[in-house]
Amino acid sequence: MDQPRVNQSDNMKNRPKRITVSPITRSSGQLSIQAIVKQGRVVNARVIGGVYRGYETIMVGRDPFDAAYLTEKICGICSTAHAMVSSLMLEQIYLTEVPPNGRLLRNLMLGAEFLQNHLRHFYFLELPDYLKAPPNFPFFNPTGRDYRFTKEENDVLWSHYQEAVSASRMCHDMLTLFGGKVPHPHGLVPGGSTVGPRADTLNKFAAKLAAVQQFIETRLLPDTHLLADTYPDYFKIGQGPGNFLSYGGFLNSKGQYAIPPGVIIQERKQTLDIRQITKTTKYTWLSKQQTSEGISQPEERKQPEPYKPGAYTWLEASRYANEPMEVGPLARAIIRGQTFGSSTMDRVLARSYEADLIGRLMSQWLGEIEPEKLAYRPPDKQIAKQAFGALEVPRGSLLHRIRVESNQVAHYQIITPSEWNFSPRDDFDKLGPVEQCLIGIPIEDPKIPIEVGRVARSFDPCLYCATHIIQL
Amino acid sequence: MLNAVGPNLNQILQGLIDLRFQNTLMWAEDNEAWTILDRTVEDPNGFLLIIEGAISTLSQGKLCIVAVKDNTIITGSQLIIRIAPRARYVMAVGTCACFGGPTAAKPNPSKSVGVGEFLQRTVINVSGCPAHPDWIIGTLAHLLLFGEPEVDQYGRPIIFYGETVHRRCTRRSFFDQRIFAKKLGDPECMFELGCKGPLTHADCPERQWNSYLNWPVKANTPCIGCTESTYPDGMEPFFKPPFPLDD
Repeated sequence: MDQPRVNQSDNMKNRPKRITVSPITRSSGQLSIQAIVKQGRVVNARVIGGVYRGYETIMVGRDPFDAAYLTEKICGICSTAHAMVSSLMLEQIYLTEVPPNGRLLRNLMLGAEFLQNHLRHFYFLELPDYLKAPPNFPFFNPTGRDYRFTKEENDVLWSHYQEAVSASRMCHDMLTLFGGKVPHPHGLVPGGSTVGPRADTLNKFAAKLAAVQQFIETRLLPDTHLLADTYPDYFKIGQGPGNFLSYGGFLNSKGQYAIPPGVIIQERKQTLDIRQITKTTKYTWLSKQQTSEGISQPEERKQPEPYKPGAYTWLEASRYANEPMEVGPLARAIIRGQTFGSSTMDRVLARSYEADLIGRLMSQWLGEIEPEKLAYRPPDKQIAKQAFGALEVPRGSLLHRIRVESNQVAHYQIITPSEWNFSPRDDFDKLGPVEQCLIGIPIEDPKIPIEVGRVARSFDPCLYCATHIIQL
Repeated sequence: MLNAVGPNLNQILQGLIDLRFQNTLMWAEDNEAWTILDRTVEDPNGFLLIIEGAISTLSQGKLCIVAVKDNTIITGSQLIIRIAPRARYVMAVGTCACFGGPTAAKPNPSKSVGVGEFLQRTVINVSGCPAHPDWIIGTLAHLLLFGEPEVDQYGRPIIFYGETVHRRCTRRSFFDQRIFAKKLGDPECMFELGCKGPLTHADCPERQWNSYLNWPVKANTPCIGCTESTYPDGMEPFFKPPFPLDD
């Protein structure tokens, strides 16, 4: 980070102060944030993604059909997302006709994964930034925070935190009925769903979905509104770059998306063009420093370079038309035409509203299923050498790309949602979305900079995903 | 743990264990979280260390940065070297922590290894990708109530990993009669479609997953051998039989 310029005549209070928030707990994976605070505001920030595994190198040389099961293993929190996107990708490589039931059941599985993610994020990862736990829970009691709920409100929210354990588990139970197990389901494959829609299974699914929808209506939505009403200043804190991206989510029978694709750059709507996606690595601990490369071109292998001068993260800088893009529920809502700002609390609201929307879409898909009819058709002969799959998943836009040679994976690439949101500065020194969000936020007490975590968590960070799979 | 049924997460935290540090669920963050870790490690009553994920060893573990303190990077491997010797028990949870798993799959770009290999000491391995919540909580309960569980040659508690999936498989009668599924989604034996049940030690067929509703073979797909030390490299291709059958 740039060294702060210290004006000797400033008093101590006004001197720029470097803070490091580490670890940012209640996120998946290892996340730290460094910031410079001047006169009570953040003036500079950088996001440190702490993990690298090189999954894309691991994929090379394997049977392409192993992609759905193996790329799932990247992350336990949204494994279904990787199974779904790699399946869509392989269906471009091998001649496949997914039966209507297969499409619907896969939508239901991915929908259940959305609900599980959104419920767990709100109650277990986000709410603790604002809620006080009872004193007999040592694991739950940090000190000195900006608590504003009344005792009654706090008691109710704490009881809902506990109820969310079973409500979110029920989402995984729904997914398991067709997936076999979660995390890392088996039932969602190229060609459809391996479990067919029998009346008893559908009925179990419907009962669980109804219970989860009731939880969303009577707990999640009112609790989200209470949080937003109690912390209205967070509608001004954590404003992003104003650029939003969506690949489109959940396919219907006409091949259209239930959640529309699109791009908004500085309030201007554009048509999505995947070829506009680039990645740069000036600030990433990876070799190969300059060229930004589109996803339509073959990529060179990149190697870990942990001592690279100037680098500060394992994440690469993903850009669309050279712009940092926010992805996730808020981006999808804005692209869908809903009215939102781009703040911490806008993200919280958009995520809860999306859980409600997806619950209702799932009821609809359930009604479209033809019981006892085919849900899976095996992929046939190879018809292409390379393909990509791109879809909206809980945290945002997910892309898998493959090249197949001699029935083996010759090249694999994955760009995850958190690689967009938590990306570092690019080769032109333009800050990543979360870095931009942090600039200007107030820091009440630099010793306990709770504001930083609140802003970062509104993006539902999953750094396993993002950093485990930076391409080599 | 969030998917655990009986006891569920609330019961586990209130009744079974005094959980101090867990990155995803703990409410504290930043320095406060780190202080909790330090204090627990110094606690004269001792502690149990549960490790998820493989240990990456390339460049002193910088491929896994767990925290940045005083402008210094603290890596996962450094942290484990510091705290593991003081732990009364070390439990590795998930196949990556036990044996390297998918993280250490060929060509192992992060030079990752399992916890036991890294520490060169005996650890209790609760393998699986993921490990079943019952296997984790059950092993914990065994440690707390009866001491160390009996383990197999890979350090896995035999109460969960004592038999192969194949031995207890609900489709075993199809296998015995050589009636094989032709494609995923079929109701017969999954051997010809790649099932690694004969090589895989776990109680999935009896226990089942997620509120005991289903498991991969019941979902008409093959077992992929996720509890074994050779997983995933030794289990791939996932959809090819593990060995030829000679009748």
